[in-house]
Amino acid sequence: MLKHAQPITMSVNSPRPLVGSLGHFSIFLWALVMVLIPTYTKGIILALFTLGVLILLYPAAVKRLARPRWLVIFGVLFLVNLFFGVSDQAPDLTILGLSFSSLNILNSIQMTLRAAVILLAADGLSSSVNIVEVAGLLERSGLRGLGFSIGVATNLLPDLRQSGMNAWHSLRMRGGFRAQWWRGLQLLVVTVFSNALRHAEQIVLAAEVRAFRPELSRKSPLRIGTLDGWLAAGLTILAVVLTLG
Amino acid sequence: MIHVRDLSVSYGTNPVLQNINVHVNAGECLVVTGSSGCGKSTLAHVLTGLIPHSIPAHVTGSAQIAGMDALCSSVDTLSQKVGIVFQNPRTHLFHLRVEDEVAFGPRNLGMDEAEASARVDWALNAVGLTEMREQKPANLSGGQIQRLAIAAALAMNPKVLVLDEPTASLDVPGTQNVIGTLETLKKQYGLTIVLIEHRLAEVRRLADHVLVLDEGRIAAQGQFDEVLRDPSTLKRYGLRRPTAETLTDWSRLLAPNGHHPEDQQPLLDLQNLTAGYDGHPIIRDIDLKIYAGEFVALVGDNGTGKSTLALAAAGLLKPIAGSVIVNGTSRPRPGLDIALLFQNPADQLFTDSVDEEVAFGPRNYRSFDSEIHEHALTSADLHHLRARRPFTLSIGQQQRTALAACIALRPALVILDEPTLGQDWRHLQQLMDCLVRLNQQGTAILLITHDYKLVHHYAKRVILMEKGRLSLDGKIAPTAGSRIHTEGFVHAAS
Repeated sequence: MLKHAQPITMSVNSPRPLVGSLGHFSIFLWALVMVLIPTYTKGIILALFTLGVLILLYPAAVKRLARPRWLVIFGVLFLVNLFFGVSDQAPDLTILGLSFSSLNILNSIQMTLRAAVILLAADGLSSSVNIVEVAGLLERSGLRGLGFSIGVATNLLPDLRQSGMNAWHSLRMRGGFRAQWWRGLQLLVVTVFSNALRHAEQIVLAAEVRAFRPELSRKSPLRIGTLDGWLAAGLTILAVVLTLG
Repeated sequence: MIHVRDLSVSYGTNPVLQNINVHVNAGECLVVTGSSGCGKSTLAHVLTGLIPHSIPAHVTGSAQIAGMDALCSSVDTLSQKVGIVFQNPRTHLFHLRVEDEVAFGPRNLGMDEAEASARVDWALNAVGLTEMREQKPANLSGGQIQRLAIAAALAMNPKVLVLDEPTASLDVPGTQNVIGTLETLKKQYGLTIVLIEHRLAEVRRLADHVLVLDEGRIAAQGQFDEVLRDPSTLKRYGLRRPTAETLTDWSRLLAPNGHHPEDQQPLLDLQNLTAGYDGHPIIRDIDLKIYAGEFVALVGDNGTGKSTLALAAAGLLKPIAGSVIVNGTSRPRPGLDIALLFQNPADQLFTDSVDEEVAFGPRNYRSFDSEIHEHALTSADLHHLRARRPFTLSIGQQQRTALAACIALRPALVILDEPTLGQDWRHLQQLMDCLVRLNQQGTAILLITHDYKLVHHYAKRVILMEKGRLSLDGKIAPTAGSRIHTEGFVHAAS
């Protein structure tokens, strides 16, 4: 089981964790490869294997996904694929008086397992790795200034949400959605948008006075674990062998 | 440390600052005050180099700061000598952890992680936030956010710190924390401070000099106590008298009221009300009655649930438990029975003219009446501005426009959620005069505020909230008058 929500540590004296950002990101990518490449029976077997590994690694994420809302979503996904699947195969199975195509059944199971694995892997990654580190990883892939943008968006959203709620309440109190609901909606959008622009202007100034220049911005620091290299190499080999073998 | 000579700034043909001369020695604190739009923030932008480098403006004169020419040096060069904390630091946070926020500036300067880390340690220690270094900024209180913004500026190792209304949105403990931090920085680290403030009493113990601006010109300048001792200066520029004592505890000021009109039906009756968000209660077991024609203040520290109570009372937030009853019969009709005015007028103005804004609600409810419309404009003193676009008005005028738009629907109760924030005393007085007129005409007022003097001067009844519950319902104790120094009230209009 891996430790969750370990903060990145900037201090040079801090001990290195066993699994760092790169390790968690490798696990996430490995999980994606394991469920997206293989198909049908092999796909289901590998998805079950991957699900098992992720459950062992991220038990807290399993608890979060075991909520009724997610179970309903998985159920709906299964049924949609079962009844409206893309397989051209004629129905060859009858269960409880209903006819199904066996390919559609395999497809439904695989799609549902894929969804569960992807959600579990994403939840495990996001609860183990600070979003700044994720941004740092992507910045290292050439997406400059992304860490800054994600930070701004994350800190700005609650403020914009509050501003939008206040505008909504004000319009509602003044009957803005009664007689002219379409105009009311337009006024709400314009107000929220203009407030966002004003915030954006303030952000640019605040960043400038702290010497920020996107083209020269430093990448966010990464927490590199002692096992990260081994984990990345091992998972890559495992993915290649299992999916292509 | 700061030497500004004959500084004039204009946006296009509109002069904002004219012939400003300022001299501040190292380690001193200059308070810059004056009404909204008098050029205070423009001066701060010049000192940090944002004007003219990032905000285009025509500038003449000179501004030397920490040995650098603020008009010629680039913003990032100046940022190592001058730090600035803007009015609402919450909108200026870029990171998800406190220490990353503070390290942002040093990293931009190209420091390696060890050096940046040392700067972070020093800055967090200086503002007393070392323990919070791994917290999310979103989880910090208002005072802590302000101190984080100060730490972020300090990490650039500036000689001068400019702060734009750092206490505007803070409750008493938050304000004291921030002022205490600035005092430490000034005494212990010899930092030169330029403080833009309306709340003069709060910054009195920090200030050495004061600069009063009026319409872009210097109205008064000199030793803080000397300049602000003159009542005619205070009256002329709509300033509050800085009192000697800053109060700390609402409960010390309140005495039981004990004479609610039991025979009268309450206008608003909150019965065992519990309300919050996503099923999590913020306020619990609230029992409160407000009667027609009352002027009530709701006070308490940040985060105690005052705004949640306002939303629930106005019918905009569904209670988790309990009930909200208006006039003994029904649930409130938002806007029609109870109007709620938010802090930021920009969120509440939607149309192209003041006239249209005030008529917007009645037209939507098909109840427009020209007599009531004129009355709303008169009550808010907006007749002369009726053709203006709301966004071209001052904040005080915008706030009054939003108020007029609410009262045009003739609600029986108007709730104002911290209308004092970011408002200078002159504009605040105009808003309060408008509320007093409304109250005299029979509208009940519920004022949510941190402002002692405002409460003492206007509220007939005061309700104290602590940790989501009502803890006191009374009035200002007779003995509290001397502590609040009501002689400090100088009406701008008088």
